[in-house]
Amino acid sequence: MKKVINIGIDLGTSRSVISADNGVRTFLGSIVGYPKDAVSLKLFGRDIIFGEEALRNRVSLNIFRPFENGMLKISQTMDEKSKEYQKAVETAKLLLGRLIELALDEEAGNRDDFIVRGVIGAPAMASRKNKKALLEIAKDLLDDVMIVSEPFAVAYGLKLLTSALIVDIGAGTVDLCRMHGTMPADEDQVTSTKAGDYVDQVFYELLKKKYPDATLTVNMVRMIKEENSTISKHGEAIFIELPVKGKPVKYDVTEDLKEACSCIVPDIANGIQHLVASFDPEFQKDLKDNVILAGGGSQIVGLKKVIEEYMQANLGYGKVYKVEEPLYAGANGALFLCKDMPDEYWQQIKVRAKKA
Amino acid sequence: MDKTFVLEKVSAGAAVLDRTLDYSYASVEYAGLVLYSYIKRGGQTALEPLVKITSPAWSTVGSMYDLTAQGVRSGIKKLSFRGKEITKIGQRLDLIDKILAELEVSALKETLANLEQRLAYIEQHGIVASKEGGLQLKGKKLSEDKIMFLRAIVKENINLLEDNK
Repeated sequence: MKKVINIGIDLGTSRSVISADNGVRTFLGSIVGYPKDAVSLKLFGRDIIFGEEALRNRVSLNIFRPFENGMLKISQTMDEKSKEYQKAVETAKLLLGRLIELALDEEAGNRDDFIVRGVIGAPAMASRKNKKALLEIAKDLLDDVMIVSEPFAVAYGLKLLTSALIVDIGAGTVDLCRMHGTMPADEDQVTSTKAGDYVDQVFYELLKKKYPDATLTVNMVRMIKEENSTISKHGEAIFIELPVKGKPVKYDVTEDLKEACSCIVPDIANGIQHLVASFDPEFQKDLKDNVILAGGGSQIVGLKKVIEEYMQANLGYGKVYKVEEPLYAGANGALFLCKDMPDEYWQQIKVRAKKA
Repeated sequence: MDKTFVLEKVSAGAAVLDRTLDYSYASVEYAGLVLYSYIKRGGQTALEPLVKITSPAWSTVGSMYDLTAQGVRSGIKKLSFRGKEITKIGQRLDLIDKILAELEVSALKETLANLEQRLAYIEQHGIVASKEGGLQLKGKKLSEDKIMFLRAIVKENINLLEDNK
């Protein structure tokens, strides 16, 4: 009998994360690089480079990011035969394939010796076309696959299937989802594209405007943000070194970073208010008691307090919690789902997938 | 002790030994492994008890030696001849042993494979052996709520798969 390996996957705009029940938990930058020429091909010794390595060597690579705003980089109107569509699908497939390889690295034996089942988290408001495309990509790499709403996967992993409001702050999107004991419908979910990438862009523009002599890239400001992100009033001053005509110069970027990080707060606060206010009034208090921050953006220092203050001012009360492992919360939840899913349900999906 | 009496006794003993060996061949042929292994160790082993029987006579009557040795030599020859026959039987028995062992191993393998297949089937259908012994349902028992959520996810995915738009 073949060994079954369950995996949960969170394909994110910035990072793709995998959790497997064989103990592997890892992530990869959602970037695929192809050597630009024969020289760089010789240098790398491979024709595809993934993640951080691709980012570090981007000068000698053609870089592709398959996801944008938390979704596969395809639009509703895009022709499936177009080069753009094909490229997005190809790079996403390579990335997913690499993640699965990483999960199976610890296993002795060939790929054929295992049944690999996966649940993939998709953004709350991803289009049907997008979800279908993800299923198509995954079904060639996994023996059994299902797609599930990302914030729902987070809630499932935290066992918060009722009376909770999940705020998943990623790089491409912020997904808000209220859980009330049933599968979240469209009206239970709100998605904002003012997320991590948006913060990077705002931070970059602020620095460019304030320090026009300094040379910097979005990638540089992203790294600074990831190490120091804060909106706290009581934090330490943040100094960085930026090159000016080749010479490193020290700058105080405390206020700029706070301003950039704060730019995602209004959409989150409005989303929370909308989901609470449109809920059954008898149960609104339960929702306000359980606002859960997940995703990389939940690590912004002071964000929890700012949201609580906002809820206090506009909703009368609010209690916000941060998940323990923001990066893995989605993938862990998807893994729990995958493991809990009875065999007969997988069988149903397999039969339908064959017919389709 | 009377010399003639002793000589008669010893020669009679040699004849008896001769006859005994004749009969023992038939016994050995049918008796199998125990006697086979005993004789296979060589004539020396077979002679040892004979020497023990006859040695008190050597010490008292010198002439008894020739007769005794004659009987023993005859015994050795028979033993050696019988030994070859027995070796052949032994080889046949070894072969039978080997075949039996192979049959046993292949039968065991088949039984194990059947058991494994059966176990895999049982495990696949949700029952596994518990640490404490006996059987238990595979994995956690899911609550009705969770089953409902899982069903909804399956339904949503089936809709996606069937959507041809």
